[in-house]
Amino acid sequence: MKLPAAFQPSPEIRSVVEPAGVRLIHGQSETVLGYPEAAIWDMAVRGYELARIVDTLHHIIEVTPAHAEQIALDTLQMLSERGFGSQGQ
Amino acid sequence: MTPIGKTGESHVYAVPLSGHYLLHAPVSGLLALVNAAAVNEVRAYLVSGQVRDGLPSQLEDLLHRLGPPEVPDPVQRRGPLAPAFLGIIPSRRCNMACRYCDFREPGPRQQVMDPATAVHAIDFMAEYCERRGQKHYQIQLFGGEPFIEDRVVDVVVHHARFVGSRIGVFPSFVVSTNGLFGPARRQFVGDFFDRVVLSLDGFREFHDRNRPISLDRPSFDEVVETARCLSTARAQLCIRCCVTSESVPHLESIARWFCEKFHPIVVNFEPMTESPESRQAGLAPPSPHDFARHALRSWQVLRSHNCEPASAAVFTDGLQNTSCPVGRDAVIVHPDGLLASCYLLPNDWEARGMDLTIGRILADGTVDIRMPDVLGLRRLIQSKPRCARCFCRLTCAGGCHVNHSYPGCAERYSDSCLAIRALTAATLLEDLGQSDVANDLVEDPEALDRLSARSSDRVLDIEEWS
Repeated sequence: MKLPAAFQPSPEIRSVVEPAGVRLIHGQSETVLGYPEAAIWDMAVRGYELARIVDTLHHIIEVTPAHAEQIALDTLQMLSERGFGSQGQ
Repeated sequence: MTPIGKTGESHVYAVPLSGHYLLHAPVSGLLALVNAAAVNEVRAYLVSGQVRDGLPSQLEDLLHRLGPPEVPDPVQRRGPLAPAFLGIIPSRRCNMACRYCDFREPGPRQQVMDPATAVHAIDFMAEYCERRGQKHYQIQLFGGEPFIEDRVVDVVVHHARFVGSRIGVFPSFVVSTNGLFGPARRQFVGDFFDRVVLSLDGFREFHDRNRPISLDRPSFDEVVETARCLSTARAQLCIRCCVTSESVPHLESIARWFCEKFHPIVVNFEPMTESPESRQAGLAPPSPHDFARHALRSWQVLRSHNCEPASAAVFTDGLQNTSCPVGRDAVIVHPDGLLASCYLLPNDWEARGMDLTIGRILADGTVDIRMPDVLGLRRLIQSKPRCARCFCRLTCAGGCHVNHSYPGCAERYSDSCLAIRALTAATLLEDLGQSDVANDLVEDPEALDRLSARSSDRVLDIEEWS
């Protein structure tokens, strides 16, 4: 899989688990990730390889592995762009 | 005379103490310390259904508060399926080698759950709750060690939350675990679980003797690190401590150490269940009276630290006729998709002549629950000869239906019964504000022997006392 190997969360981000997602706190600003983004964030910050994120995600949201891969990639890119972390190579 | 009709069975008990009796009528909620003459009047009332004229007003009031002499089963579950929780067993395998453990691993095919099986079970439960208008349900993870199959755990937690976020039915998560985690897994468990039941058998010398990872590899430091991390996490930490004859004299200091070091919300001291494996390892259960004495003292230590002592048999939310999942419509998904109300291996209950299965997850994902089998389990728990005359019948309710109160088990009290009887009596006395009497009971070997020797506590069964 030609994909980033890992996701490195920004050290200053604090996350709080909520009933319907995960709240990310960055200084004075907060963002709530719903699902499936919250699951991807959780697995990424635990250092899962992307292949494992995709394999787990396709069960979590009951889509094909290809679809899960696209959702995971889009989410990790969104998280990087919004400054919540960076994707490894 | 006030006649009162008879409609079922008596649940009025008299527990002998030194010089008086603990009158316990759990259905009407009556609890009193009385003398033998009062017990005789209670008995006369239960036999005749009438309150005798001319009794002292206090006694007359007490008899009226008893309610009908006989009542139908007050806790019988009725109506459609109403699962107490959804249980999931991701794996039968375990990564520890506890010396008292008699869980046998089944064949490889039955050991590990396919994530799709967990997904089907969660979909069933969430949709079931949605149809009934329930907003919350509980998922309990059992093993083996559940986190051995951490991929299944990840799917369970996030799929249940994913579904919940869409339909507004929110899961809570409880896990029983040995706590052998790395840092990332500790963080995940602390963040996403609501309650973690962690097995920690006390100080290093006891824990490492009982619960090694392998013959030459102890587990104490890793488990303590998990407890330390969970002590500051969102998850509520519950410590389950298996007590042996060696550790029982140290329960109070273990309780203090748990509270000061880990701030658990609940601590459950459980006497070790003897097995061929424990005997081979030279481990013995505590004597029931030693356990009761030290457990009661340790509970006082726990409460002084705002920690709740736990015992499914002694502390209950109201009355019950089962203290295990059996008979509570629990849906427990075994790794191979079998649905049962018990998390033990089917071989275990089959050896007792029982079938605790209630259905199966079919190949197409359909969750097929057989209501006649659910009703059969509701009936099973109503008939336990060992419990029939015990004052703990509607609280302890007999414990494990496979290993303790199975059909055909001996009617005499087990060691576990003896400890529970002593602790329940002491707890009821504390509820009455009679802590000194409770302490006297567990410190007095003769009083404990008297309590142990009684074949029936039912007031209706006793001969008139002088």
